[in-house]
Amino acid sequence: MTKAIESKNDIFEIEFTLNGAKKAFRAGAGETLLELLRREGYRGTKRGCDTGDCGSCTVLIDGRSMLSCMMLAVQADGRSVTTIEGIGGPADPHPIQQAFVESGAVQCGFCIPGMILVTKELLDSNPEPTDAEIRQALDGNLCRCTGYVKQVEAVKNAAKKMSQKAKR
Amino acid sequence: MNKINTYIRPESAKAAAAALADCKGKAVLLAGGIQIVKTMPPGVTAVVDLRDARLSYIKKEAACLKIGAGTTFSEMVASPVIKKWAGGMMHKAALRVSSNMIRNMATVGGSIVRPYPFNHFPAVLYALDAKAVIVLKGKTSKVAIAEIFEKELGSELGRTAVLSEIQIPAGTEKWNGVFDRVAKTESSWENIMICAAAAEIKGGVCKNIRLALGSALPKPVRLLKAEKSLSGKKITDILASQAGDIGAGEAGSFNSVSAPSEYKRQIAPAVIKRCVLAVS
Repeated sequence: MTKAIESKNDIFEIEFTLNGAKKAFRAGAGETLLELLRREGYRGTKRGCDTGDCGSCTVLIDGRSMLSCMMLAVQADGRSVTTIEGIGGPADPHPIQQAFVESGAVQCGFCIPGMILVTKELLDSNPEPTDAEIRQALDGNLCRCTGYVKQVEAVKNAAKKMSQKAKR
Repeated sequence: MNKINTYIRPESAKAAAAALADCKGKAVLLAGGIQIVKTMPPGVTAVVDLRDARLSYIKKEAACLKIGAGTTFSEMVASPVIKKWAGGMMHKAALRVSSNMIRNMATVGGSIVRPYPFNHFPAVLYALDAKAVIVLKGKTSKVAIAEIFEKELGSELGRTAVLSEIQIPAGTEKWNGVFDRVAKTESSWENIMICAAAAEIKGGVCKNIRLALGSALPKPVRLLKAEKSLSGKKITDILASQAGDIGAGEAGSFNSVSAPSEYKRQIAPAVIKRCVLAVS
C-alpha cells in the first residue's frame, strides 16, 4: 500500500530509530536530515560542503553510509539512523574510535565522525580489508589536515582490535 | 529549497506513476536523491520516493539481464553477474562513481532519468544496447535506451513517467567490454570524457561493436560511423586510430563542462582509439 505523509503547517511528523532508540521527530518541509540531526543536538554530524562532496555529514542509514546533507529529513521515516554519538563517546569509546586516536589519525577532527562511520560499515561486512579496500571505502571522506596514511593505519588497527574483541 | 508538503512512498512503479499523475505536475520522483534533493524543480511540492517500490534487483534471465532502476551502484559493484558481464564494464563504471556514500545512495535509474553529462551509465548502457522499461499512464512499455536521450521521452521521466527497469540483451554477456574515463584525478566525479565500448570478437575479427561517448557532449552519443569503420575487420592500431578520428569527427560539438571544448576535441581520438584497442 502506498504510504503518504502530509505536512501540517510545513511540519512532517515522522518516526525513525536513532542510535538504537525509536523516536518521533518534527521535520521541516524541505529540511535535510543533516539539518534535523544538528537541530536535535547531534552535532557530531558535521556540516562541511553541503553538496555531497566532503563526507563530513555521513551517517549510517540501515547500516550503509550515506550523506545526510543529500537527504530530506522526511526520507528517514521508518529507517534506522546511526550518528557518531551512537558509536561511542569519551566514556565508552568504540574500538574504531580508540584506533583512530592511538594511530594519530585525528588532527582537527572535523572529518573523523564520517570516517569512523564509514569504517564501521566497512568492518561490519569485511573484517580484514586490504589497503585498497580501505582507501576505496574512505574515498568520499575528505581530510584537509593530512594525507590519508594515518587513517588507513587506523582502520587496520581498528580491524585488529575488533577481531581480538570478537575472539574474547 | 522548495517546501515539500507531501511525501509519498508507493509500493510499485505503477503506483508511483499513479501518484505522479495525482499530483498533476507538482511531484517529482526520488530514487537515490543525489541530484533531486539539491536541484528541486520550481513549483514541486510533493516527493514520490521509490524506496518501497521494489525496484532494487539484478536478475539474469534467458533473454536479458534485468536491472531494477532502483539498484544502487554499491549493489551493482557487489553483484557477481555484473562483475563478469561484458568484461565487467558495468562493474568498473559503477565502482568509479564518485564516493562510497554516493554509491550507496545513487541508482542506475537516476543516472538515466537525470543524465547529467558526468554520469557513467548513459554511455555504458548505450554501448550495451540496453532497453528501458517505462511506466506511463498505467501502461508499461519498453524502449531502446537511445530514445530517452534522443527524443523528448527524457523530459517525461521522473515527472509523469517512471523508469522501472533496464534490460541488457543476453547476447552481450560474453562480449568484450571497456569503460574508460578521463578526469582531473582518479577520484574526481567531474568527468572530462567517458568512452564505453562493447564488442563481439570472433577469430580476431570484430563481428559487432558499439561505441558511445559521454561527459563530452550535452547528451551521450553513439559513434555509428566509427563502429562501421571497424565492423567485420581485424582491429589493428591503424584501424583503431582511424576509428578515433572518425568518432571524434561525428561526435559533433563538445561541451566545455569540466574542461575546454577544444581540449576535449583534441583528446577524443586518443580516448576512442584506446577503448577500441582495449575492447578488441
